[in-house]
Order: sequence, then C-alpha cells, then structure tokens
Amino acid sequence: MKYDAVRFLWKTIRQDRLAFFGVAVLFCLVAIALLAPLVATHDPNEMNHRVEGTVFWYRDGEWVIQESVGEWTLNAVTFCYDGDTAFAVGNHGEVLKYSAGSWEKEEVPTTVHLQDVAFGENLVVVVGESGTILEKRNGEWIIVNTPVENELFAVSIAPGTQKALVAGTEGTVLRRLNDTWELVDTGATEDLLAVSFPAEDTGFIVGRRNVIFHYDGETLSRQMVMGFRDLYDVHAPTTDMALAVGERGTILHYTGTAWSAMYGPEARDLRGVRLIEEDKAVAVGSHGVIIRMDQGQWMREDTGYRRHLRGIDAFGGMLIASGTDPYVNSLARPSVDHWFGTTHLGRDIYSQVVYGSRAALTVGFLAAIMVAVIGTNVGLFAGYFKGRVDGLLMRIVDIMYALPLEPFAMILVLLSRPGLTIIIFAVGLLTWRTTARIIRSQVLSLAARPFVKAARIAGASDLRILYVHIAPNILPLAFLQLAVSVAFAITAEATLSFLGLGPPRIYSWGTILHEARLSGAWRTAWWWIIPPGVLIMITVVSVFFISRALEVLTNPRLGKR
Amino acid sequence: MGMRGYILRRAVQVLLTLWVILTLLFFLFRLGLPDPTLALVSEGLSPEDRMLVAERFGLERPLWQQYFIYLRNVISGELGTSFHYKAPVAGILGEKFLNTMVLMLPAILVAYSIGQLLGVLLAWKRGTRLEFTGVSLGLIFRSAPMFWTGMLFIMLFGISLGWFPTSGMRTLPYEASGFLDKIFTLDFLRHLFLPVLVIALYYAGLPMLIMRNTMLEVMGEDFIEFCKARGLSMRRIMYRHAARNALLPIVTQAAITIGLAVGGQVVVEVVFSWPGLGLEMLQAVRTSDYPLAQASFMLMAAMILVLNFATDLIYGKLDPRVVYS
Amino acid sequence: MKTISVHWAFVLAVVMVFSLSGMVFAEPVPEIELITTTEAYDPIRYESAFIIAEGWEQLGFQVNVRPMEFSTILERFYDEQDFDATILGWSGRVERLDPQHFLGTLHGGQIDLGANNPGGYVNPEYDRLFEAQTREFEVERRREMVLEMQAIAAQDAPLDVLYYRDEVNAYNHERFGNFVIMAGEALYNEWTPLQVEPITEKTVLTIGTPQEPDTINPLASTSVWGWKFMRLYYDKLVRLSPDIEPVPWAAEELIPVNDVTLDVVVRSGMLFHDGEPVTVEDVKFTFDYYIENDFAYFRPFFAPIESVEVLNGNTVRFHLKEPYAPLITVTLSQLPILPKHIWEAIDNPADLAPDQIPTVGSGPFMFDRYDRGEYKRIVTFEDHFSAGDIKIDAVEYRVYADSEGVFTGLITGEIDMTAWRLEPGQIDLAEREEHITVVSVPDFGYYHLTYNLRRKPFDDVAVRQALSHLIDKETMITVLLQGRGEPGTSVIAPINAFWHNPDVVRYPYDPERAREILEEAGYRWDDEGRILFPAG
Repeated sequence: MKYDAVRFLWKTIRQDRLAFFGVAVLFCLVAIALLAPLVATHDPNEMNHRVEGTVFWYRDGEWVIQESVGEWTLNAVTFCYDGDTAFAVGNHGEVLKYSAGSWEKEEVPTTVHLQDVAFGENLVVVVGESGTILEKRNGEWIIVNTPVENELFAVSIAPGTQKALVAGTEGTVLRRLNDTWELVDTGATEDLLAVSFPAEDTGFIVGRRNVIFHYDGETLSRQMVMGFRDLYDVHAPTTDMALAVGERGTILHYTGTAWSAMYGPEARDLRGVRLIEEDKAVAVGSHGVIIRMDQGQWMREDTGYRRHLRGIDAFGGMLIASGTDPYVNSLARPSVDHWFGTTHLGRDIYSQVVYGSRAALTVGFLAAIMVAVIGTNVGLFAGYFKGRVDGLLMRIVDIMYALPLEPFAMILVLLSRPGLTIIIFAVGLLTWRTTARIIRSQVLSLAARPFVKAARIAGASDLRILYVHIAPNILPLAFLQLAVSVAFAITAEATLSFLGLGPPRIYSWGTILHEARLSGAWRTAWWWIIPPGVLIMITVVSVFFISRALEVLTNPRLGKR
Repeated sequence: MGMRGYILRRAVQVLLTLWVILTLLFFLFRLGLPDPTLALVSEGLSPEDRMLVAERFGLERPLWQQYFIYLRNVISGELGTSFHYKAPVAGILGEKFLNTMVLMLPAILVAYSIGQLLGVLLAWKRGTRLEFTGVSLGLIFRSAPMFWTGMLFIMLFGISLGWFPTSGMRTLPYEASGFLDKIFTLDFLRHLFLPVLVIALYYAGLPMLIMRNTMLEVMGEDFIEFCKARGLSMRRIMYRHAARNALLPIVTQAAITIGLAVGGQVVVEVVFSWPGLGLEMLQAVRTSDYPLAQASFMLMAAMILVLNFATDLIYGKLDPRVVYS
Repeated sequence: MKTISVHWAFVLAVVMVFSLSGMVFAEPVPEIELITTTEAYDPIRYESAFIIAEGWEQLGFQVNVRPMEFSTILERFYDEQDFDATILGWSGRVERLDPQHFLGTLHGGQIDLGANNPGGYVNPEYDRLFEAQTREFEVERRREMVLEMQAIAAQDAPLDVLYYRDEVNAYNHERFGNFVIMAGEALYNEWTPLQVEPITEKTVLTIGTPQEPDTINPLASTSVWGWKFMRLYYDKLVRLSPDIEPVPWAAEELIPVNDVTLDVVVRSGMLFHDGEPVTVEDVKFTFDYYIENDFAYFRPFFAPIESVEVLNGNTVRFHLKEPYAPLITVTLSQLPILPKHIWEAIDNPADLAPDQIPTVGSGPFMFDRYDRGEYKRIVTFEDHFSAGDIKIDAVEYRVYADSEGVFTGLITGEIDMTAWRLEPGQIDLAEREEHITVVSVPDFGYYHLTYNLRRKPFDDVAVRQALSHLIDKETMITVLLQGRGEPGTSVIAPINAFWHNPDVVRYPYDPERAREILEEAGYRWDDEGRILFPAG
C-alpha cells in the first residue's frame, strides 16, 4: 500500500485549477517573505521625511498652495517693488525670484544654507551660514566680506535706504553703513533670530530666551521683558508698533513704549509674523499653523495643509508664506514613492505588508506543523490502541475543545510577554484537537483492515505497525489537516496581532491593522486598511483551494460528482 | 440507559472538564506569577494590606492547600477582587457574560439558518453561475478575518453612510429595570446589527458548504427518487426531505463552531466596543488585572462547555439513530 | 649604550603590556534594557523608546527596548527598582503645581523600595535645599531654592525630562459657551460645570470619556478619574481657582496663627445633600478619619498634620508637626468633607461593596446615578451657596470603550465635551468640524526617562549627559506629538512659570558633543564600534 505521496499530491493539485492557483500564490508569498529586503522599497520602521520648497499664496481672500519649487527648505520670502515680484531663499544656496507668474532660480556664488532675504533701495541682501552675506546690486550677486563666521539668521533694510541690520548666532549683529558692514556690540551671547528695521533710527532684534534689542541708529539697548521663550520673528511696519512671535505660540506686542504678552490661540511654535495695520496681523508656524489678528483678536485659520511654514511677507492685501522644514510624509495616499501610501508616522505601508508576510508564513507553517505532528500522533495512538488510551486521549481532546484560542493566547501573554512564539504555541497547543479526532476515526477503520492483521500475525511490533503500515495511509488526510491548520494559524496570528499581542516592531498584517486602529486614522485612510486585509484573505483562500483539492483526494466520493 | 442517564453522564463529564481547566489555570498562573500580591503593590497597597490579601488567598500555605482554597473559592462564586475596579470580579463579569451571549447566540443562529438555506439552494442550483458565486463568496467571507470586515463595515455603513451606530450596545442614557428591558429595544437592535452581520458572514460559509455537499450526497439516494416519483414539488423535496437528512453534520459542526466563536468573539467586541467578556478580558490583560483575566477565561470555557452540552442534546433529538449509551 | 637600550626596551614593553591589557581587558558597556509602555497603552511613549534607542546605538551602546504592560513597569520601577532605564510620566494634577511633589521625586530620602525616587539619585546639596524649601513660607526665598534645585538636577542629569505633552480637549460651541480652561486639566476641571452657559435648550452638560473611576469610595479611590468625579459632589475647604490660586470655598477664612498652626473658619449654613448641616465636627471628623484609616493615597497630604481641634462652633484649628508650606494649596484643596453621621458607623471603609458606598456630600452637585462602564450623572444641588451661579441642571458622563468612541460621540453631537485628550490623528479631523472647538493646553506633568543610578554605566554623570545629548526630542515633538508639546528641560514645566527655571543646562540633540563627553571621560570603542568602559 505504499506509494509516493508527494507525487500523488502534486498530480492532484495540477488537475485542479483552483488548487494550482493556490499553490502559485503561496509560492509567491514565500518568495516575497524570503526576499523581503529586496522586494520592499523602504525600511518599514522608517518615518519617511520630505523636504519641499513650498509657497503659500493668499490672494483674493483665500490660501492657495503652490506646487513644490524644489526639494529644499525655503527659509524666507519677501515681496519687492510690488506684489508681482518676490524673492525666496533656502538651503544649499537657493535663491529664487518670482516674476511674471513663475519662479526662476538665480545664479549665486555660494551653496551654503541661506536664512533670510531683504529688499531695499536698489539692493537685495541675503544672509546665511558661516557669516555669508550676498548683495545684489545692479543685477549682480556678489559675496560681501564680513568680519564674522557665525551663522546669520536675519536681515532687514530700512525702507528707502541702503542701511541694513543683520542678526546671527551668539549675539552677533552687523550693520550696513555706506556700503560697508561692521559689527555692533550687543553684549549678548544668545542667538539672535530675527530683525525688523522700519526706519533708519529704529530697529528691533529678537532671539532666544526672550531677548529683545532696540536699535536707535547708533547703539543697541536690551529690553527688559518678562518671559523666557525663544522669539523667532519680529515685525515692525512703523517705529511705534511691532509684534514678535516665538516658541509655543508666544506673541509679544509693542505699542511704542513697552512690550507686553498677548493671548494667542495656538500652543505650537510660531515662526513668522507680519503686522499689517495696528490691529491686523498674520502669523505662521509649524504644522501649517496660520493665525490672523483682526481688531486685536487672534483667530486660527485652517487651510488644511500641515507642512511647516517659516517665512511670511505681506503686500497690500496679498500674503506669501514659505516652507517647509522637512516634514514627515504622513497619511500620504498611494503614489509612486509609496505604492500603498503611508501611515500616520510616514511609514511605507507597502514595505510593511511585504515584511508582514514573514510573520504570517512563519507562524502559519510552524504552528500548522506543530498541530499536524501532535494531532496525527494522538490520533494514531487513540485509534490504534483503543480502550483506555483512546478514552484518555479523547477526554484530553474534549478539554481542548473547551479552551477558546484567543483568550488562551491572551492569558499566555499576560503571564509572559507578547511575541510570535506565544502565538505559535497557543495555536499549536490548542488546535490539534480536530486533527486528532479525524485521524483517529480513519485509523479506527484502517486498524480493522486485513493488511494490519497480516502484519500483526507476522510479528510486527505495535509501533512498527503504527508508523510503517498505518501512517502512510493517513498521510493524505494529515496533509489535508496541515493545510487547514495553516489557514487557521494565519488567521489566528492576524487576529492576535490585531489585539496587540504581537511582538514590537515586527510587522505582521494584523499588527498593521492594529496600528491603523490605534492611530484613529483608519476611518479615512482606506489605503492603510485594505492591503493587509486583502493579503490575509488571498493567503487563506489559497490554502482553502489547496485543501479542497486534497479533500477530493481523501474522500473520492466528492470527486465523482 | 435512557435519555436521563445520558444527560447525567454528560453533565458529570462537563463538570470534570471544567475541573481540569480550573486546575490548569491555577498552575499556569502560579507558574507565571509566583506572588500575586506583588501586582497589588503598585496599586498603593501597604505591606499590612498585602499580608491580609495573602492570608485571604492562603498564599503562605503549601501549594496543594492553596489549590484547595482556590477551588473552594471558585465553587462558592468567590472569583477574587479585581485589581483595577477594586470590586468583586463576579459582579463585574455577570453582565458582561450576558452581553456576550446576546451578541453571539443570535449571530450563530443567523449564520447557521442562513448558511443552511443557502447550502440547499446551491445544491439545488448545481452547476449554475449562482452556485459558483455562492461558493466563492462563502470562501471569501470565511477567509477575511472578522476584525477586518468589521472595520470595513464600520467605515462603510457606520461612518460613510451613517446607517448604523459604530460602537457600544445602546445609546445612553437609558432607563431599564432589568436586563431584558435593556435588550428588547429598537435601539439595541440597531447596535446589534453590524456585529451580528460580521460574525454571521464569517461563520455562514461553513454550514453552507457542508449543507451543499451533504445535500449532493443525499440527493443521490433512493428516497429522493421515490419522492419525485410521488410527484412532490422540487422545493418541497429539497427543503422538507433532503435537507432534514443533511442536518446532522451541520449540528456536529455547530458544536465546534461555538468553541471557536467564543474565542473569536473577542475581536468583534473590540472592533465594535461591545461591552462583553472579550473586551473586558483584553482590558484586564492590558492592565495586568490577573483575577479579572482569569475569571473571564473561566467563564468563556464554561460557556463553551454548556453550549456544547446543549448541541449534544439537540443532536440526540434530531437523529433517532443515536442511542443514549 | 647597551644597558640604556635594554632599559628602554623594558619600559617600552611595560607600556605595551599596559596598553594592550587596556585593549584586551576593557570591559564593554553592558546592554541597556529600555523599558517603555506597550503600543496600545501609549503609542507616543512606545515610539519614543525606539527613537531613543536609535540615538544611543549611534555611539555603540547596545539597547534592548522592552515594551511592557503598565502595571509591570510600575512594579519593576517602584517596587523592585529592577530596571536600567524606564520611560514613565507624571500627570499634571493641580496640587502638583506646588513644586513639592515633583522635586521630591529626586530627593535622597525617597530612594527606598516603593518610594518616589527609584533612580536612586542622591545629592546632599539638593536634599538640603529640598528640606529648606519645604519649611520656607517666604515665597520669593522658596522660589530661589526651587530654581537652584532644578539647576543642580539638570547638571547631574539623573533623568531626562523627555517632553511635556499638551492636553488637547474639544467642545461643541453650538451647545455651550464659557468653558473654563485650566493648565494641566484643560476642559475637564472642577470649574467648567460651575461656569458653562447653555446656548440651546439643552441644560445638561454631557461629557464623554473612555476613563472610569476605579471606585467612587473616597477612602479607596486611587485614580484621578475617581477624584475628578467625586470632587463635584463633595466639597473641599479650599478650591484652586482657574489661575491655580487657592480660594476659600467651604472655608470662610483661613487664619495662619504661626508656622505650625492654622485656623479655618467654616462657612455657615452649608447642608449635606441629605439635609443635615455641615459643621466643624464634620471637618474634624474627616481629617481624623483619613488619618485613622491611614489612606495611603492621601498620606503625603495629611502626614504633616499633628491634630485637628474644634475651637468653637465655626472654627477648627490645624496643628502641624512641622512647618509645611503646601498645607493650603495641597492638603486643604484635596481632602473632601465627609458627613460624620454617615461615615462614623463604617469601620472598614476600604472594603465597602460597590452598592454600599455612601454618596452623600455637600458639593455644588448631587450624586444621581452611576452605571459602571456606561453612564454617570450628577444634578445641581439647589441649596449650595454657589447654586445661584450654576447655569446648568446636571452633568452627565458617557463612558466609551476607547478614545475612538469619544471622538465619534463628539462629531455626532452625542457629547458636548471630552474629558480625555484627543489622539494626534483625531485633532486634525476635529478642527475641521464646524461645531467643534479644539482646546490645547500645556501640561505641567512630564514624561521622563529615568536611569537607575545604582547600575553601571548610569552611575557616571558623563554617560548620563552623553545619553541625553543623543535623544532626538525634536522628532518626538514634531512627528509623534505633531507639535502639541515641547521638549523637556526640567521637572518643573515651563507652564508653571513661577517655579520653572528656564536657565537650566540643556542637552540638545548633538551626537558629536556626546562623543566628546564620553571620550573626555575615558570611554573608548572597540573594532565593532561597541562602547567600552574606561580602562582600569
């Protein structure tokens, strides 16, 4: 009665088109799991960042986001002459000029990060890293010699003049007088981050730890202001009013005599501000924050964009804001970069799904093998020895039937800790019950067959009869049970991982769905929900198809129809 | 031996099984958690209080004595005090148990009644496109994990279309004098609909396929031909005569399904925030509330045993060939 | 000539042996087990742990991140002190605005098992200042000491304050107005129900939360959620105003007699909800009862009290064991006034069955019903002295299974406000809803990474400082918290502006600086880049 079981299996499967499909799918999945690092496009744990030079326009009463102008942060932006021309500067020596409706790159003799730009009478000044100052005079960009190596963060030019103030790290302040730059003593060691220069004899400089300086055309004087927050920007349209914004939504207001704190509606950082009229202003900040003051009251304005904004400038009724710092590409829809989109932390879902096949298959096969081995042996012994052995084993099977799987796994996790091993053991230890029952009934009938009697008469030992004579006959059935167990184990693994009982940082399809639910984003992010579920489904269906073919094999009656 | 003797014997068997499970749990917990009072300390228990607890559970006595104290406590319904709620576990779980039952029983009932009817239909319409679609859909719903279909249904019917509530058992507040009052309301049924649908779709595939297969076998048998010869309508033959004979394997399968469903229920309760045993148990595991987790598990095991017992009796009723021996 | 060269050869050999032995025997820094919460419990802390581990691994530290169930963490951290480094948090409860509690978590007197300083940080100078500030009633002088303590702690870096997370709540502005926003507690504070004004016909304020009181037994509840509920139907002698100033409440007047004696004049004409009058006897009884039952959760509050004495029909006198600055702001503002006529008959109050717990208080609201896991309601107590100002008829609470449920309730108008923070993913969606106002309030609680100073390499201040320089807090804030929070600097948060020291030394993310610090302290790296202890 021996025959080549594997070859026979293969023949059966080849005849059944659905089973063939199932085997093909499983092979693909095994290949994907083995080659996951090659197949995946990203590290599944990487929070993918993006840098985009983005410009926000406010025209005719609404905000419009302009397509990215390049892959670098735009640190500052300024209108010049009129609303039709503007300059923007960014990292890696980027200087862009906007005119006639489009942005053009300017050729400049540097590649350092540029932090700020200001526009004055026949003069554009750009400042940046390592004491860099660029001037554009008569259509020509030139590098100016400066007496400092510090990073320069801000520049402002007094309207109608060529006088400028520049602020930088460690209390650095430079001023431009008669075409030359000179250092101004501040006595401060804090980094100075912004400057506003409304008139030749008035300037404001702000910086970290609530530092505020006033400039009177000659010297700087430090202002005593309550508070300790970093100030990121200051703007004074005239000499007697100014606004400064900073860390954690800090807003300070200057009314010609003193600075006072203002209540703002935002607790996140504010990076840029423009005071338009006495009681009208706009400020921008990280995560797309835009707030607007009207009649002295600040209100939040929601554009729906969540990119970080840095610079802002106003002209007439128009506003222009620039960004962006590197931002995490969270909840991105499927795209060329991210085939299945990204999670709320900017992780690549496609790569997670690819790596997830590893957990599913590992648990699926290991647990199923455990189930098949235990179940088959218990079935063999119970069916062959009958009597007490059978009674005892079948009682154990009865008990097993009373233990619910998911709760059992939860108890194991409670008593040790989450992990794939726990899941494998839970499935393996609990679900051999069905296999045992089915094998047992088959063995019961086999044991009564003549060839078993013949073996016994020939003096073969019980174990020999069991494993040499009977076992090969139940192999197809055992394979069928193995297949069913694989499907069951894969579903169980997904379920337990979905409950958060899987190992940390190892993605499985269940874990992906668990995270989607935890994040609260699943109600809208369909691209996060659908791929892992579909994969679970396809895998399990494939296994079902295979087991259906095997069923025909073990129960020829079904095949006849 | 008659029916009564059989029931008695099965009942004893159920109790024995329960006892084995209790024993298993006891040693599992003692193995994983040598000193249960340690877990209590973080709740601000003073050393003296800890001693008191230790005394109540007999923790300073030898293991076998502890075991008997544990059994005695369980039998007298003293399941311990929840670490989290600081209240007796029995009181907390009582209603959760009922909540789980009112979700699970209708779901399985629906799954099996619809599954069977469809199974008969598929056998009848053998070889048609309907059969193919039916079998495929059955397989697909059996392959898609319940938590996933649950999430999709919530997205679609709950959030996008707004037809059904997405979580919980009822709209609060409610005025009800007893448990029955709470569940026989339209509002409750609306809450029940989606979770029942999800569970039913998952479990309906199996009885449908079994029914179809058995029907195909039964239809080849002589008495069907006999019925046809008597001029009975096909509908009548299918549903009255053939189906009746195909019921037995389905009841057998139902017994197994119940065991699976009690466990699988957990995930549906989580997705729909259904205040049942499963959700409570997950919370207990997350807060390391050992007594609550242990008791939840016990209740689930007991639930399976009792329901299986019930299916056994039904099986006996259905199949006259079963002799109670 | 020959002898000299032999001599030199000998010296050279010795040097070589020493340097070699240094190479060979230098011990690698052991793997660090970094304990954090599970993802389900708190995704932010879970992800933070991996960000920290990535930072540390850059300099050759081996890190094993271990997410654990919350109570297991507490057990390992507080009760067993069995940890290398653990991420935990302190919630910002109003009474913790007084710096006493947070500074105490670094006090050398609290390093025993189970106490609040499991890291085992001991600095005699810090401890001296701590004890001095406890007794200091002159607030400016106390402040100076508090600022200096923060500077010392930051320098020694026994822990890294990771971030302060904003409390983000939301309410339905089409139904109610005039919500009170309080630091640390955001919307769900004790003043909101007293001050909200209905805009529509609906005069019952509905609050949604996934959190449940552990119990409503005032002698057993150890959770914020129990007390945030009970404080509305129990009254307290003092309540902390929305600006966190103590205002006499059930007390009419507070008269300090000397450093260790305080007279409290109890407001007259107050009633319990069962109609019995509130008397000085009830006040004395309450404190005696808590002390007698030694209710652990309140122990720090009543521990400094020697005795409570009834002076006359409307005054009680508190005798202290020693001067205790936070008596009014902490003790008197936290302990509820219990009705003597009900509780004096109860001997083991902690063991009360849930249906036997008395719910009679004298607060502005009356307990009405509580269905565990589902629903709670309190109704306005018309005989309370503040009843005239209350504009709603009742407050009801709906309990949801998770924050998902709360969020859905908010969107669909089932609830009027949340009592639990919105998850970062939900905030965005809520802000886009027409009828919802989102409120974001900085917290004065903090999340911290505490090192076990009893273990190597954390006994070395250089290592701790270097490790702090390797923590990328910016990513935690901008990505994980989506900007709703700020990098940590001191155990006293910036929002607590009066006590916060903004000038403590900071450890910005700077791997180069970290390497320098370690090199200066003698640490080296082997061929695989693994960090080694200084030789010898």
